[in-house]
Order: sequence, then structure tokens, then C-alpha cells
Amino acid sequence: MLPFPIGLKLGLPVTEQIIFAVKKAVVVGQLKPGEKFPSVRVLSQELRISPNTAHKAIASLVDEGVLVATPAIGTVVAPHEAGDRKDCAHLLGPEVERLVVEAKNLGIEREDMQAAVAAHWEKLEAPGRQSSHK
Amino acid sequence: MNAIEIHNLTRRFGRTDAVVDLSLSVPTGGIFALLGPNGAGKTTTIKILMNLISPTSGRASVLGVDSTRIGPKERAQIGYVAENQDLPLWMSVRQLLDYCRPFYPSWDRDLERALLVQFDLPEDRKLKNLSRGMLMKVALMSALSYRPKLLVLDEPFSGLDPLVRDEFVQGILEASEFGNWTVFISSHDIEEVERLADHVGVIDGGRTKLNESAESLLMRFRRIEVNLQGRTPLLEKMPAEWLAIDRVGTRVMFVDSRYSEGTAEALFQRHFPDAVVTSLPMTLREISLTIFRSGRKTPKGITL
Amino acid sequence: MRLTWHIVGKDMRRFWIAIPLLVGLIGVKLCLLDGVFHLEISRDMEGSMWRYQILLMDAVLIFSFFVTVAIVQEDPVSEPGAFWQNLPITRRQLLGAKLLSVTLICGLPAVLALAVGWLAFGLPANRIGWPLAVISEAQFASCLAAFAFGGLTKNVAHVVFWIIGVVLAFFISHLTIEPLLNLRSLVSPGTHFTHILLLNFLWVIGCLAIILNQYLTQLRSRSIVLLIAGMLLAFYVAETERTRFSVDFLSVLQPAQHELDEKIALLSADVVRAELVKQKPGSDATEMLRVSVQDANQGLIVSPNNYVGQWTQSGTAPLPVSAKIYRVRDRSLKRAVEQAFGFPSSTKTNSLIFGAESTIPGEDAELLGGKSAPYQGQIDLNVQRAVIDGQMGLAKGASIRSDFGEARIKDVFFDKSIIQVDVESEFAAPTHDPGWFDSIVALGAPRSHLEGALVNTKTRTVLTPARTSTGISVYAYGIFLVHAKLQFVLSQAEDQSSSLADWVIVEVRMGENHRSIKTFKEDVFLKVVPAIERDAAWTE
Repeated sequence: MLPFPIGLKLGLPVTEQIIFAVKKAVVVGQLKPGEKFPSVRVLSQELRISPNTAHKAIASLVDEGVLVATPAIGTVVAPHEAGDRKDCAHLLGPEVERLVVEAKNLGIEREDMQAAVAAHWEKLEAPGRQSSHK
Repeated sequence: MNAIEIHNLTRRFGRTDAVVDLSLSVPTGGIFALLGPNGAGKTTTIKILMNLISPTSGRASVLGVDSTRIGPKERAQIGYVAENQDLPLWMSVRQLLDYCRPFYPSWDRDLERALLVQFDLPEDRKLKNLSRGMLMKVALMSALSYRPKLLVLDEPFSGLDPLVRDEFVQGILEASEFGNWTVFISSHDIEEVERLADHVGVIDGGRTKLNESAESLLMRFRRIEVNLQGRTPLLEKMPAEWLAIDRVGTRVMFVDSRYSEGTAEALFQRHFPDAVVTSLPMTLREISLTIFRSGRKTPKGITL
Repeated sequence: MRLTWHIVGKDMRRFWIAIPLLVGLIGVKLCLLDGVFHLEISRDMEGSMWRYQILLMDAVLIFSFFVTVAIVQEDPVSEPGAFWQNLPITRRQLLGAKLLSVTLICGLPAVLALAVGWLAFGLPANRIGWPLAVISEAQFASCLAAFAFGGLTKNVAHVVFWIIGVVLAFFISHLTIEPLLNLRSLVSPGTHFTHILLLNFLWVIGCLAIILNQYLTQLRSRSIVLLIAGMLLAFYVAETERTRFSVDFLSVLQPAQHELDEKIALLSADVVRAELVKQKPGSDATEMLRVSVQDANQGLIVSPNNYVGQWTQSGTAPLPVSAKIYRVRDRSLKRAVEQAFGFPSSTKTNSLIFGAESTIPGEDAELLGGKSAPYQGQIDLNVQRAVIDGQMGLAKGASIRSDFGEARIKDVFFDKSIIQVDVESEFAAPTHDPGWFDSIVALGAPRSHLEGALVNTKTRTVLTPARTSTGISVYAYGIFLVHAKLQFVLSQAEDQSSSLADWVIVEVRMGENHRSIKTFKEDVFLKVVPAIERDAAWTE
């Protein structure tokens, strides 16, 4: 079991997917600062990927400052400021792109799309309140 | 130093060219997947690497040694599992392992034990009473337990159910030693190796079609769909990197093999401002299929 | 070296059971040998003992063959799978291991049989040592071939196909190509023995070459070339040996044959009689025909072929008969030897008389009344030339070295009117009942058998043996070791006047057959003869 959720999809480079999932987990708070990050070996075995790939992913994350290599313990999650808005938005990238493309294909205008997004957001945020509304 | 280097390898059988002017390099310390359709020359290449047949021309080196000079010393550091193992079926699992052990000075008994447990193999059962999946696991065990520097797998997944395939991969990774250990897999089963491979080589008709890292491959291939909103396109003078170009009504589909963020979109925007361009990532399987098909449709070949 | 033994250990673990089985087979074969238990094999027993000998020998050889194939194909050299291709051993190590395994599993039983014979039955090594050595030699040849073919193929079925292919190739070549060729032998005359030795040598060298090539270079195509080259050489050696006799023979025989033909054609009615006689009450056997051939040429041995052709009633379809021909006490050998030594002939007439025994289905009253239509007979005659191979005095240790081999006198007994000579001869010849092994190597060699005759140089007489007892103690691939006891009975006159020094023993070999088939033009009537009148001449 890995301490962060990840489901590898075909079609996208594995390293990217790992980096993405780790960043997401850090932002969401599933990976706490100082928490021990799985070793190359564990990562490779759990995800069924080459140790090389696992190593590359971890090295990238260390480069980007998401993880920190400590001499005694190994790799740990780096401390970070909570709620970096730009990061969060960036994490939504692929999903947003898909939404926009789909809307364009259907010929929906920008304002209508934004309205639909807002409506959906409300629906998911307060299910209890929604029912009471009805 | 690369684990395997192949330079202009050619092998002819009578009048058929199995391998033509093949060049590949497999870097040390990674997992290299060799992909290709049936009859592409994968098994021939592997047999030449393992010094089971000799090349007609060209040369190859394995672990720094010329392939034609591979002898017992090198074989003790290479693991080889193929579809046809021809294991001595009268032996039990234990007997087979006991038989193999003295041949390899680097045999690791702890690893052997760990793999036995991981593969859940009944030690005392005779090989002839094992299912195909278990037999392949035994074969893999006999090739992994001495921690070979190079593991060569020729179509290892054929005929195995998904559970066994997963166990197989787990076994390989269990024995892995980061950095010092190379795996060379030739497979039809592209999905299984997509996650696993660092490096991918694609051959078809005995020739190299692709030879690069998995990451760069996945990054530069995209399936592009363009909705031209009612305009009819003129399909002339398309860039050479666009493969499998197809058109249905006002929609155009093709595969861009030199994709970078926004280039295709920009190109279309220039001529057809209303166009909606969607770029989708492709799996290794889809990329391979595109390569194979384009190889067959245009004899002149497309430089990628 | 350690790895080599490791592989041998694996083979032993798998095939150990072959060892006690082979020890058993060899043991039983040794027991049937007259060399082990005092078995005096008379002429009657000879046939069945001979068959058991051959059967057991074949069993040992065939079993060794297939065990060797199994051992060799255990670590496959031809089309091996990935597991074997990647084992870190040198080809030399593998070959060494396989040779060791085969030697232990197939060769050890002979040694063990020796031990068992000594410990369990108290038989000393010198009694069973020689036969065991020959069994081991034969096993060696069989296992070599198994090794070669096992290394060339993937499984046992393929080995069988290859063997069948090789045998057929020889057989068909022998029947079709050989008569067209006029090959000359490389080796000088008097070398039948040498030809057999050469063939054996080719066998060993050929198999070794294939084995070494297949294991050390793994170039299968070259192994096959070696096999074909070996086969061609063997064919040449086997066939050229033949030509010596045919060329020599024709010139001598032709005139004689013409004469004979004439003689036979002149058979007169009163000489040729057919009598329906019951030999024993209740027996189906009947004498049918008595044929005499007059003025048969001196120095030629005329004998009927062992089965008679057909009886036809004029104008009707031939009656199927199964007949056995027997002949009178054979004086032909005596005549041939006399002729060779220039002695005067002892026989007054030169007729040869033989009878045929056969059955006629049913008893026709008309048939028996002598009123049915006449029969016409057809009979095969063998004409052979006796060849005197050599002579030796009647002394212990004397020997004759001939083209076929060597004969040595082991012992001589002279007791009043009986001279008994114990002869041991080693010679190369095919048998009428060839064992599996025999026939392949001895293909093409002429049929012949050896006889001994005693010649008195003073009185110029010839004696043929009254009794012979032969023990074929061992044989291996075309080479025989025969222990024979020949008993000669002296007539009263000879008995008083002669001493051992006057006699020499002569080795006579029947040359090649020259057959003729004659149809009698005479009419033969069948009639019943109420009393059994057996001619003194019908003694056998």
C-alpha cells in the first residue's frame, strides 16, 4: 500500500503520473510534511514499474522540492505552505482542458459552461442543504 | 556501457531476411521492451544475442562481450526465459532448483526462498503436473535466483492468465537491483510492458522502427482530432510526421508523431479559425499499431 | 569437473533402474551360454539355443540402445529449449558428462554381472570374462550408434525413423544399385575377415565423428554429411568384398553347369519315381519323389534347395505343396575334398539322390490307383564349389589362418576307431538366422558355412565327421567364436593301420551358390506302395 492514492493509466508517462499524484496528495494533505516517502524499491514493486522509473520520479520530486532526501531516514515529504492556489489550479489542468474542449465541441458558450460548473459545485458541496432546499 | 549493443545486424534464412540492418542499444540498469508483430525478427534477434545462432553480418555485444563469444562465464550472468523452455518435466520444483544451483556461483538462496514463497510454488510437485503458469514461474525462478546482470525474456507472457502475469512482473521486480541490472523483454503484450518499460524498441520486418525511452515516446505521439465546423479541408502537403491521416465528413483524424504543446492546434487555427482541435495521448499499444500499419501502407517508409 | 559429475548424478538418479535390468538380462544370457554351466549343445538343441542366444543378445543391445538415447536426449543438443541453451557449461563438459553417464549405466552392468557371477555362483572371472567382454563390445557399438542418433534428433520417435531410413537406404542400394556397379576392392584378396573388421571400424569412427561434431560444434548439417559419408563408405566396403567371389566363380562353374543341365534333362522315367508311402502310422508326411542326378560333376557339390517348387498336373493349376527336401548322407563334401587333393574318387556312381517329403491334400482313389494324369515336378538345385581354406595337422595348438578367420585345435582325442577334434574357430560370417546386429554389418557378404574333413595323406581317403557338436559361445557383429567337437569314425582298415600323424584336418568352405531350376519333363505317376521300403540311403 502506498501512502498516496494513484491509479496508473496507459498513455501518459509514468513519471509524470507519479509526480502528479504525489503533488496532489501533498496539497490535499494526505502526505504530511516529514512523513517517510516509500523507497524506490517499494514504489517500483507496488506500482509494477521499473526501479529506474521510480527513481526518476523521486529524483524529480526532490528536484522540485516536494520531497527531501535526508541522510539517515531516506526520502521524506518536504514542508510546504498550505493552500498554494496556483498549484491547485495547475492540478486541475487536464480536467479543465477536457471540459473546455467538450464544451466547444458541443458549441456551448463560455458563460453557459461556467454557469454549469457553478451549479454542479453547489450540488456537490452541500447535499444536506440541497435536500432541505427542496 | 550499454548492456546490449546491436550494430547493423543482419540475419538471413535462405531467401528470407529475418533481421535487416538492425541497430539498437539497451542501456544498463533499466527495463527494455522490444515490440513488434509476429515475424518481425524479435526471436531471431534474441537468439543472436544469446549466441544460439550466428548473424549473417553485423555484430552485437552483450554485457560488453561480443555475442559470438558468449560462453559459460557470461551465461552465468544472464538469465534467459523463452516460450519454449523445455524444462525436465520429470523433476520436482525442488529437484530443479537443486540441480541449477551448482551452476551459478552467484546463486542467492535467500532470494530463492523469497521467490518460492512469492510465487507460491509447491516444492515437491513434479514439473509435469504443474499448470503452464506455474511452469513459467518455475522457469523464471531458475533464471532469477542467481541475480543475473541481464535478464532476457522472449514472449514471457504468452498463454498466461492476468494473475500469473502480475506475479511474473512482481517476481522480476523482487529480484531487481536498481542500477546494476537490466531486463530485456520482447513481447506482443504491449499493455503489460507499457508500465514496466523504461526504454522501448519497435521492430517490424526485421528493421528498427523506434528506439527511445518510453517517456519520450509517450510524450511525442498524440492522436489529433479536428472538427472543422463545416469546412472541407484540402488534404495536401501534410507534414511527414502526421500518420494515419483519415477523414470522415468534416472531421479529420491523424497521429502526430512530433507533437509538442500547441503546434498542431496553431497550424489548424491558421487555416481554419473555427476548428476545434483535440489532442489525446496514445497508449504504447496504439503507437505501435500506428507504426506497424504505416510501415505496411507506404513502402517508402516514413522517417520518424 | 565438479559440474560434470553433477550432471552425471542427475542422470544416475533418473536412469539407475536400467542397471539392475541390464545385469539381469546379461546374467540370463550368460547362464544359457555353454561356457557358464556345463551345457553340451547337441545339434538338435543348437537351433533353439541359438535363438535364445540371439534373442537375449538383441534384448541387451536394444535395451542399451534406447537407454542411451534417453540419456543423451535428457540434455538435448538438437533443438534444445531455452533452459538448456543457457546453462553455463562448456560443450566439452556436457559431452564428458554424457559419455560418463552412458558408460556407467550401460557399461557397469557387465562388470556387476561379473561380480554377481563370482559372488553368487562362484564363477571365476576367466570363465565369464571373455563372453562378458564381447557383450560389452557389442553394447559399445550399440550405444555409440544410439549416442550419435540421439544427438542428432529431438526424441525417440525420430531416432527410430532415422534408423529405419538408414537400414532402408542400405537395403535398397544393395538391391538396386549394387548389381549395376562393378567395384573393385581396395584391399587384397583373402580379406573377408578384414572387411568385417573394416566395417566395424567404420561404425565406430563414423559414430564418434558425428557425436564429436554434434556436441562440440553443433553444426547439424555437417553431422548429417558425416553420416552420409560414413554410409557410403560402409556400402563400398561391404559391396566390394562380394565381387571377388562372383568374378572367380562364373568361369569355373559355367561348363559344369551346362553339363548338369544336360544331365538333369536326361532323367529317365524309371529313375524318377513317385511313391505314396506313409512313413509312420498316422503321419501326414509322404515321400513323393526321388530324384537322382547322374554323373554329377566331381568337385562340385550339388544339393537340393531346401524347398521344392510345385507339382503340376499337366493342364491344371499347380498344387500348393510345402515340402522338405532331404538328401542322402552327404558324400559331396568328401568328393569335393578328394577332388581338391587329387585323390581317386571313392564313389562308384556319381549319382546324387535326394528325396522330397510333402503332403498331398486328400487321397484320391484315382490318384492312388495310378490312373490320374501325370505330374510334373519342379525343383531347385544348389550347385556350389567347395573351397579348401587350409589344412593343419592333428596336434593341439595347430591353426589354420584363412580368409574368413582362424581355426585352432584345442584338443585331440584318439581312441581306437574314433578321432575327436575340439576346434575353436573365430571367423566372420553371416548366419542363416541373422540377429539384428549381424545383418546390418554382414550385408553383402556371401553365405557360407564351414565344414571340417579329415584326410589321410597315406591312404588318400577322406572322412567327413560322423557327429558334430557345436557351441556358439559368443558372437558379436559378424564375428563368431565357435567351439566345435568333431567326431570322425574310422573304418576297420583305417583304424588298424593309421596313426594320428597320418591325418590332417581340412577346413572346407562352400563357395557361393549357383542355382538352377529344372522342370522335369518326365511324367510321374503316383501309386501306393503298401509296405514301407526305406532305402538305406535315406538315413537322415
